[in-house]
Amino acid sequence: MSAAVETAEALARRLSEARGWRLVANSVYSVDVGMDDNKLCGHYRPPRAAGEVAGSVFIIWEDGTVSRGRIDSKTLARLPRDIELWRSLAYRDDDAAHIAELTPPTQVELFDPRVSDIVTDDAGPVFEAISQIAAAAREGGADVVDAGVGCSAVETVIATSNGLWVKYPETSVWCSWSIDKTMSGIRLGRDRETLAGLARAVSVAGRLALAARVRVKVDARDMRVVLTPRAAESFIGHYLLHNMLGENVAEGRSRYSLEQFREGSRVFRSDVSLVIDTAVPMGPGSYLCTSEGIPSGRAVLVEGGQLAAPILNIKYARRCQMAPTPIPASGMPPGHAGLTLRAENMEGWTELLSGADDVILVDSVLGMHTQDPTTGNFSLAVPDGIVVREGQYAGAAKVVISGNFMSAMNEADTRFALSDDDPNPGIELMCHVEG
Amino acid sequence: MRVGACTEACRAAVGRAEALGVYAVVRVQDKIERAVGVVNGRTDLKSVEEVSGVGVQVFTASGLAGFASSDTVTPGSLVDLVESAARLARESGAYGPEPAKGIERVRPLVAQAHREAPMGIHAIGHAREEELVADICRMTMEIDSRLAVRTFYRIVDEEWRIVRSDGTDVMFSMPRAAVMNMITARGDSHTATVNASLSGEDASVIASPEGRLRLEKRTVKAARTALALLGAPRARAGSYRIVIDYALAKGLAHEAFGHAAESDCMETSILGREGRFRVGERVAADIVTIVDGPLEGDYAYQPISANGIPRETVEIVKSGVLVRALADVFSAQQAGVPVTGAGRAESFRHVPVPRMSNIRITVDDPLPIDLAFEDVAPQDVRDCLARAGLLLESAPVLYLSGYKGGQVNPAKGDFVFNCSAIYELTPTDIRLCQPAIFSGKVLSALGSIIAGIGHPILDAMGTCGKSGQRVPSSGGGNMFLVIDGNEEITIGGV
Repeated sequence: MSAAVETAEALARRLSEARGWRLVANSVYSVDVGMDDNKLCGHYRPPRAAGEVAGSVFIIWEDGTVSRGRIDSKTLARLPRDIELWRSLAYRDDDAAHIAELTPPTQVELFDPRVSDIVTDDAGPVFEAISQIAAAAREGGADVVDAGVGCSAVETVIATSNGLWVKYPETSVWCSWSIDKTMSGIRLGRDRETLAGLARAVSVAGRLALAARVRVKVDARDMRVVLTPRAAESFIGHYLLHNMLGENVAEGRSRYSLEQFREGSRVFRSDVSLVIDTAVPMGPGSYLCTSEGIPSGRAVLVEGGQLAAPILNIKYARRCQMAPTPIPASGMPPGHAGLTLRAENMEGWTELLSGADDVILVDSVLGMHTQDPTTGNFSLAVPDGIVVREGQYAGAAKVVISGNFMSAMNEADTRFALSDDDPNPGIELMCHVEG
Repeated sequence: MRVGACTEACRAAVGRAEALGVYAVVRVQDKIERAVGVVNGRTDLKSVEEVSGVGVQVFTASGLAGFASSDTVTPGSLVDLVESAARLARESGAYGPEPAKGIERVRPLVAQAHREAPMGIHAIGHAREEELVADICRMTMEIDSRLAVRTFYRIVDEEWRIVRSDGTDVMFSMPRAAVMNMITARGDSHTATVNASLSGEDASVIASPEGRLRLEKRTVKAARTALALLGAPRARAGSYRIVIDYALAKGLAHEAFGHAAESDCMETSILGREGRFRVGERVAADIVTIVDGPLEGDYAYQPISANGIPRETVEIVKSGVLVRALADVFSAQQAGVPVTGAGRAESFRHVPVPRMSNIRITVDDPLPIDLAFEDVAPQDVRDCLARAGLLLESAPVLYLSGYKGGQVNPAKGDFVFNCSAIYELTPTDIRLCQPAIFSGKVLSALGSIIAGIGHPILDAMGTCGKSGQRVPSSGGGNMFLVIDGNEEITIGGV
């Protein structure tokens, strides 16, 4: 029995007198290795192994107050004391004081035993993968390579006082690389194949980094800007996700009000949709059910350009008098977490790029986290905006791009283009560019 | 101290390391963190977290390094971690790793630096904490019905113990607390979000009359700014003479300069040449000084590094000239600088890297201003500039108020940060404009500082992200800095 299961079982017994409870406990084991400035490992990025129990518990006491607590490997040994500690911090939150009715979790495949073996027995594939990344980057002409590769194996228990008891294993694999401190990429997955064929993915960043070595001048003007799928992820995460979170909608911190969702207000172009799907087999952000016991699945947030539903946990679902939705996993780009933006008749990414002329291709921006997501306005530095002329990289310029991302989602001339490698499309939109 | 209880486990680790022929650095962390969140007057969160764990880093004689961590701190667990880290270190040898060197050159230290905060984590009960935070939130909401407010308070009592194979055994504490008011104003078709915060080492930020008064003043100022921004125009993009407040000055010092002065990135930093720190080179006017170091009572206080070396106060720039880098034991020699004890780690799970604590940028002979920072209005800034002959007839001077975060690429010297609001100051008018990014080249910005206004204020709080780790940071500068127009520094654009 894993430490997570043991802890969860003990907690469930101890909490039997509470009005309600739910918990999530994970036994997490991981291994990773990194490279900084072409140096594999060294002091700052040594191979690392980690193991711990992590999780949380939510309790509704007899008087209706609620408590939240953290679970770790010590919880089991100090249970009576921890429960008293959590009780001492109980507070009133009537919308939150609810345990989901028992619903069978969605069956989603999330585990690859070969990845688990890497974590527990043989870290060799992790070293080999980072060596592949470095070799591919150097072959592409990189001067400076930074990279990281890691795997984890987790046993998760999710349980509630309404009878839910879900126990499942999952594995995760992550790879990241940066070429010449300018262009970068990531690959996330759950199976052993995530570590294969990295050279082609690395070469995409490598070609951009090579193009960035030639500096060109860009005059200040309004012009077309193409966000790579990676750059588009950061816009989707910062602007769309923030304004779709039920907590922000209900508390007045979103661009959109609850009434707008109820009325189905049109906020984007009529062919644009936004969907969350957390039940993609082997999806990096997939799961069986949320930590609250809500089954994993698909929810439409924007359909036909109209607001359909915010992302709602139990508390805000009750406050908004709407159904709870799946929640995107944290700690990864929104597309990998299952949040995808779509438009009708999307082009292919390669076709969009090959047909691009007099545009700035943006792969990363500085300062996204400093922008106010509610306004939609952005004013961002792009140290290496790639100038594309007649489908060819003509060099790079440091530019500042500005505009309004939410307005762009409503513009007829905004273009979306999907690649095979990315969950969200690249986006071409009009911006003001300062050279 | 709580970390004093793990002596047996630390000894077991060091003993096992010796038996395996490796050098070990054991880092034990024990953190208690309590938080209260109130949203629009209703309690949204009350939590307490007790986190403890240990990370073990080992080095073989040939410089192979490995790391293992666990949230179980027992002799048996630590022995397992040493073995796991040593196994990984040796396994890495087949892939041509960079040798890790330097730890063998430092002297052993046995010390304890326990900082007892006057209003520490146990000084105020949970219920009173909740009342105080809710009161701040409601007070903010009462300013105007168009405001949505999230007030978040966190108090942390964090202890570390660093034990090394050379006999080093140090313990230190890092108490801190902060309260943040996130204020969103909503108009018919616009929204604007601004923040007001106060940080320190203990609950005095919400519970002392002085703390409460300062927070109230900051909150009222921020809320009024948010409301005024609803109808504000945008500033025209371009290069201007600008005035930044001390929080933005901290951003400039931290994001634009401090990271480039960290010894681990000297091979690619703009402050490095051929991997070595450019000591003796002029980077700013001779009125400019930049210092980093721990301050007692500060939000980012850390007296000893995560490698067990006392943290020094470092003059990075003195009279405009580069003097010292922020260096840890592993990259100091290669960067050609002395070790300053700059290694910090977010948690027991992380490997320490050189980074800042409290960084401040100050200017000699600042222009006087006889007001507390919270009481300074844009008019006061303009009058001060006018008295000093720094207001321009030909173009507005832009006063950037409030820091909303930033980012830097130390290898290229590009920085960007954002403010809460911009005021266009002219001899005849003051116009509030929407915030826009302040971006440019690090050395251009430093070289363009022409004046300071007011005495230094050093409590601008933040969270510093580097190498996937987030640690508390703080700093500041003179109440305001004046940066001359420079085509490599731009506002906007729009």
